[in-house]
This record gives sequence, C-alpha cells and structure tokens, in this order.
Amino acid sequence: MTCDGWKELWVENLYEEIPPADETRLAAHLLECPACREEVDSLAGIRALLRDAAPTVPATPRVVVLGRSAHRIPGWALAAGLAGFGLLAGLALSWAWQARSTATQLAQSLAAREQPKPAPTAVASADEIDRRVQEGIERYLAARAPTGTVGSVPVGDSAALTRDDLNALFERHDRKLHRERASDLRYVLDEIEGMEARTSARLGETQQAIRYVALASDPRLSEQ
Amino acid sequence: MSWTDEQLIHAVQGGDLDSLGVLVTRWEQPLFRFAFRLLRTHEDARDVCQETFLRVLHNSERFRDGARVSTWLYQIALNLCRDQVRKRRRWGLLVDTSRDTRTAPAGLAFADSNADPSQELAIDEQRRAVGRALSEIPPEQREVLVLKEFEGLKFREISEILGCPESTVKSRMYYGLAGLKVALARQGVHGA
Repeated sequence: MTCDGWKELWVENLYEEIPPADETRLAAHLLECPACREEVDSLAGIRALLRDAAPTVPATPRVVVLGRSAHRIPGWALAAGLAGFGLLAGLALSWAWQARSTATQLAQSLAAREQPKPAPTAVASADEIDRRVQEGIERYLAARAPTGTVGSVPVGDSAALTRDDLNALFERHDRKLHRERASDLRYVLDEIEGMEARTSARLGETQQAIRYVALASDPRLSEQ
Repeated sequence: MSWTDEQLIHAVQGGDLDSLGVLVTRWEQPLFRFAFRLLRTHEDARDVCQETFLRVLHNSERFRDGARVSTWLYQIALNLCRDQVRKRRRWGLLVDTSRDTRTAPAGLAFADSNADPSQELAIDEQRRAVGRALSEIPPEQREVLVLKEFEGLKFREISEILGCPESTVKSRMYYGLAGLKVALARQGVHGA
C-alpha cells in the first residue's frame, strides 16, 4: 500500500517538473518505501509505453480560413436586405396594379368607341333588305342635293342610283372609316407610349432603391 | 526575425489576415493532433481545427494582453472538442477507435527496410491498445494526459487551459495513468 500525499510529487518527478528540494525529499522516501517505489516504477512503465506506442495521427488537413465578409452576414444587414426586398415587392405590385388599371381603362375606352349597333329585331328577306337600302340611299341623296340633282341622278327620282354614285358614296364612307380607324390606332399608340414612360420611371425608382439597400448592407462600408 | 504568436494576434486584431495565415501554419498541426487524440476521428478533428481558427479570426479582440496565444488556442480547441463529445453522447454515437479508417496505417510505416515485420505489427497492436485504453478513461483525465504526454505542455499551462489548480491537474494525471494501466492490463498489454 502506497503512502498518501506523495502522488503529486510522483507525477512531478515523472515529468521532470519537481522542484529540487522536493526531489531530494522524494528520493529519500523512496529509499525507505518499497510500495511507493513500485508505484513510481509502474507509472514510469506506462509513460514509456505511451511514448513508444502513442496512437498515430493522420496527416494534418490544410486549414483554409475565409475572410470576415464572406463568412457572416450581420443581423442588421439581413434586416436591411429583407426591408429592401419588401420595398421592391411593394413597388412591383404597385406597378402591376397601375398597369392593370391602365389596361382596363384603355379597353373601356376602345369599347366605348366601338359601340355595337343594335341588332335587328326582325329577320327580313333579301328583297326587303335591298328595298330598304335603296330607300335609305334616296333619302340621303335628296337631303344632300338642294337644287334637285346630284350628279346624273335627279332629285326625287326614285330610280336606282348609278353605279358610279354608289361607288363614290362607298369610297367616301371608306375614307371616313379609315380616318376613324387611324385615329383609334393613334389613340392606342399614345396610351402604350404613356404606359412605357410610366413603367420606365418606376423601374428607375426601383433600381435606385435596390442600389441604396445594397450599399447599406455592404460590409466594407460598416468596417470603419 | 519571425514574429511571436502574441505579435501575430495583435496584427490580426488590426485586420491583417496574413498574420492569421502565419498563425494557422504554425498551429494547425499541433491543434489537429490534439483534437484527433481526444476525438479519434479525422473529420471531427478537422472541423475543430477549422472552427478554432475561425473563432480566432472573429474574436481576436477578446485576446487579453499578457496572456499566451498557445493557451488561448488550446482552450478554444478543447471547448470545441468537449462540445463534440457532448453531441456524440446526445446522439448515442460511440467512439470506436478500432474502426477509425482515417488513422495512418502505423503497421506499414516501416522506418527501416530491415525492420522486423512481426515487431512492427506488435507495435501497431500496442498503439491500437493504447488508443482504446485512452478512450476508456474519464474525459477530464484524458484531456490532461493528451496535453501533457503528447503535446508536452507544462502543468502550469495545462491548469490555465483547463481553468483549474495545478494540484488538480497533477491529480488527474496520476489517476489517468493509473486508469490507463488498468485498461491496458485488460487488453493484455503491460508497461515497459
């Protein structure tokens, strides 16, 4: 059985960290105590085994340490990024809503110009339709010719109009229709140009907002 | 003239990443060796090593003037190793050194072409036995053993790293050696 109170000195002695005075004291004790001597020898044997048969360690892998800005996103930068995303989303939704409203207005405007004529309440025969068209033309010609004649057609004469007259009439209507169609197209083009201008302005505003958010979250600006 | 570890840390505090690179080059091997001896797996030891230097990079301002960089590095690595051991316990993982395939094949590392193969195999078996025995002693004793026997630190340094008195360190050292002796005897291995 070993003596109490010497363990610390045994260990210090084993690893050559024992103060000289204690070393002398220990040496003197070991001369007189075989149990302690045996314990010290046993510890030395274990230590020798650890030295000779230490578990091997594999080759050290290369350690790569990344820079500060590539590793961690500060909380405030994350919050700014989220706020910027929310702003962008809000602007995009607002723009989409405006575009939808404009498109609806444009569609309504075009629809108002092209009021469909009331459908005929009765289905007439082909002869009846021809008779009505002829009467309409005669009334038209009578209203446009104060002296009584239009071209070669006498006023009041219910005889059929000449082909040339009818052609001239249709050409006049075509030109009017063409003018009105051109006017409609110009109206639509103006609306489209207006929408493009408004969209460009909003895109510019959004890009500026994104730039501000990106600058705010740039870690290089925070390292003052 | 090369810079001391403390000079390098002050440079890192000033934002000099090159100084951190020098520190990494100096300490990656000792820290990896230390972590591997405690954790016995290559991946865990590598992660501890990597994380230690990352913490040095991000917390360099916490290094106190007058302290030793080596102590600070070992403290960080030790805490990370303890966290890893706790994780293993939580998930029921066992540290089985016999299955550690990332350990260098000690039995094949012949220092001398004329070496006796049977002797090398015996030493290899002894190494495995020592590794298994180290895994069987309590963690606090294993930590002291590794720091003292394999890293060669003084008792005073170990007490600073562990944050306990030197007498406690020496006591753990004694009981660690005694426990190792018993564990090795169970495997049929006896001290020299």
